[in-house]
Amino acid sequence: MPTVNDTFLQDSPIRSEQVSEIIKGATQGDIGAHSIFLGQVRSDLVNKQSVTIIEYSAYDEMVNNEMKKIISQVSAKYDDLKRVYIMHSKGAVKAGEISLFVFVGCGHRIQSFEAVADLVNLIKQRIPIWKKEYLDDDTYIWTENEN
Amino acid sequence: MKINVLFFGILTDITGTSSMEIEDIENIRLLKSWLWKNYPKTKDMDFQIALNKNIIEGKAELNDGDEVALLPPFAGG
Repeated sequence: MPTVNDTFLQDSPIRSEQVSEIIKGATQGDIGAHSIFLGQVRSDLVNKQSVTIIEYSAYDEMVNNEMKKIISQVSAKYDDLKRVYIMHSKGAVKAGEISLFVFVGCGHRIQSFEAVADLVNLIKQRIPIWKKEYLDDDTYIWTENEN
Repeated sequence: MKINVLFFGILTDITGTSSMEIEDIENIRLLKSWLWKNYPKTKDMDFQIALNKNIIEGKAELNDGDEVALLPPFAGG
């Protein structure tokens, strides 16, 4: 199993310093490739209004259980995976801010590209998180992922 | 016998709460009937059910103290 973080939710947007801290911490000698995915809040147009903020909510305990399951699943598929770090925001994240950070460290590049893509896809399919998109006029809509 | 029912996403708007205790509901089928009767809007909705934090499909019996979560389609990322 790769080295993995214990909790996967934070009550704020992802800060760029967090990304650099994780990169700095992944100096173990068997890692030769880092792949990083950052999910950013888009100001989509909905009924001629722009999305200004997404408010994320989660079933916290189940998020932790399911994250561990998907990391196990991806680890079983990619034997070169050495390190995984996943963090998702809860609460308000403004358009242009980052809500999801997935880091993968592997021995070589190919598995790192594929593992990070698999993790992001599984997070969208299997992790119990919901989003309320607030628009310019302060109304909101609940949206779901397109799979 | 009591179960704790948790609501997420759009279901919190429909029910006006994120959790409630319900008495004498013995299985998932009866819980769905109870939900549809009390919140008719949920009849047309797509949601999964987690029993004690594990997603279940189809029938399941409920026991005192169970936590049942009603999960609309996920939207993480």
